[in-house]
Amino acid sequence: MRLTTAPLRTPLRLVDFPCSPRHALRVKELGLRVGNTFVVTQKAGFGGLVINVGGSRVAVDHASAARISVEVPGDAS
Amino acid sequence: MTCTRCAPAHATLVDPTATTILLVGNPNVGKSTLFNALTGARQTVRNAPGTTVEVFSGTWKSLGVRLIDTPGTYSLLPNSPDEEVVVDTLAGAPGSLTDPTRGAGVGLVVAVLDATALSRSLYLLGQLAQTGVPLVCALSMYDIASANNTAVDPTALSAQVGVPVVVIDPRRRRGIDALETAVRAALSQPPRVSGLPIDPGAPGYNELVATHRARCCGETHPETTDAADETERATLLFDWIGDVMRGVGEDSDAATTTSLSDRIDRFLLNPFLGIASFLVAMYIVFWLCNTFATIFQDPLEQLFDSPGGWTLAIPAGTLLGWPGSDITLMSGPSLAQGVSALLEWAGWGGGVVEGILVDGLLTGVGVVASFAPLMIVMFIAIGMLEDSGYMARIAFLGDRVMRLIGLDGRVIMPFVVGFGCNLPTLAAMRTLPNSRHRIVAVILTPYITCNARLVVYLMIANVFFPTYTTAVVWTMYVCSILMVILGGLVLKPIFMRGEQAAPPHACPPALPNAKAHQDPRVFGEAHVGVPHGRRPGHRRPHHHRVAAHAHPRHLCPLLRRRHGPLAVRIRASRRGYITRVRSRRFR
Repeated sequence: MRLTTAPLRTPLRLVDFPCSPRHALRVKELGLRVGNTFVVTQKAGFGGLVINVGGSRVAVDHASAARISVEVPGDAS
Repeated sequence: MTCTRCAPAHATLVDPTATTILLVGNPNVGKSTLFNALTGARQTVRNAPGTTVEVFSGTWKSLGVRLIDTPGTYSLLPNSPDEEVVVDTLAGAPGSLTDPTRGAGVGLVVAVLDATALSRSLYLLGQLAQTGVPLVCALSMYDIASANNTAVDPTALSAQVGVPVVVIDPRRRRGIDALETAVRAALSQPPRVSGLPIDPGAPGYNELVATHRARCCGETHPETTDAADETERATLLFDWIGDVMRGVGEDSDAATTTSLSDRIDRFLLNPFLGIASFLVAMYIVFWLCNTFATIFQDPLEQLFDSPGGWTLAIPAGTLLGWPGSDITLMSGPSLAQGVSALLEWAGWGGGVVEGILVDGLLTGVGVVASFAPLMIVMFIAIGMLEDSGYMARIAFLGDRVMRLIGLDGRVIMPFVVGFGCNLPTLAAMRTLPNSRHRIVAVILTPYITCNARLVVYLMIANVFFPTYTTAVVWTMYVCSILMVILGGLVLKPIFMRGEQAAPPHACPPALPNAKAHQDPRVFGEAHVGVPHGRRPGHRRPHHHRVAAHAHPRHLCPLLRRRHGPLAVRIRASRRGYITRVRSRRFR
């Protein structure tokens, strides 16, 4: 599923995160790496999200969230 | 891990009396608070040589060694001038503050870790370990982590990373003595992180210190790696972090508990409540300016040029309709009275000299001085909004709106700063990667009401709407915001015609960093990849405020060519995104 449709306060695993090469490493440094788990803590106004990854709160804009693929750990899909 | 053999030789490389200790950590972990606690008043501010980022330097009172507070950074792979300074300082680069050929090289790094975001802090710690410098860890925000039931055992953490870990609370001055003890021991027996080799290709690699260690400890370092191995290096760090976190009993599952900050964000990030809170906040700011600042504006101006002296009084009705007449607090003679009396005594009264001094100089200074209370109140208010993390929420809330009018979400903060002064907003637009975005943003900037216009607004409101002054001024500000939005909608089809939708960077939006130790919790971890303008700057007048992500190296190429590399000084605030630019001649 896309991050924009992910449920709140449910552990999610990052499946895919297309990112421009210029920002790819910094995004990983912030904890958004394939296989890492995090939780969506807020769905902000106008489509943005706030996620809790490793204790850090990271804000993700709507356009980026629409490209991030996640899954609920343990789901068959 | 410590090496007993390192200590004596290491001490000779760096004169113990001039050893430099660096404070390094993520933004908003409390480094500055710790720095202030350790140095007291024994600190100075200077620009890092060769760069134009401000660095705080002081003397650790109890140890008698130089202490440098480096700018906050998430990684030693720099994405901003501030982060570049951290890397250069760590490496003891030639000409840097820690250039060993000029005196004190790096003796030790105190890595300030955030207990509430340990994995992110460990990434930076791992990078620091790869530079070869000795390390001691100071674990901050431990009280918050404990309240959230996410605190790790510092002893277990120390065992995992191999260096001392000291829990500190610089605001309450707790753990300072323990940190001093650990640092004192580390200076004599330098510890190093276990599980990570020193990497000559790593950013911030300190060749002097690392080479000595290699000789002393009999280590062999890997060959210098090229830039393509940055990903491999990062993978190595991620694996190490995973091992450390498992070693301290932290599982990889993200916490599902809701913190106080999360609960507050439900309101602040709600599109309706968030915007309403922003309007209320700005209304309060303007009310403070209109109420408290004006109390001091007249007396300050009278102090300089009033022929009848100055009077500090609280106008009737100031404090929620306080009844009665004005309350006079104090009064006194003015400088104009003194100068006139002096000239009268000298026989020059009533002439040209008195006219120049009193009606010219003192009147002019008085007018300028009368702005000071207004600026002070405004900056304090804006600063409090920034430091509380509130501004970061507003910036994030406004991101999509900015995109609707064809602008990058990164303009929201410069636009907010524009309420203070439009000039830094204009300069900050240089950081936008798209030239069309820049043009549109620059055209819209003058619609933002700045402080200078506030005085005019107040005058108009007082003259024509004396009963509803605050509401009228607030309405004017709201109208200016609406004009920015409408202007963007008008300009978007003109300047953005034919332009493809920008590929979603799939990166968190760049947000300013808020103080992590204040609730609501820091929102600015997503300060990602803010591109700073790499293009040649233009001629610029002096004395401007610009956003920190404007690259300082390129702002004044003409001045740099004329006066040398340090012709332009930019002050990066401790919050990292407000700067002041001055151009000066350097010897």
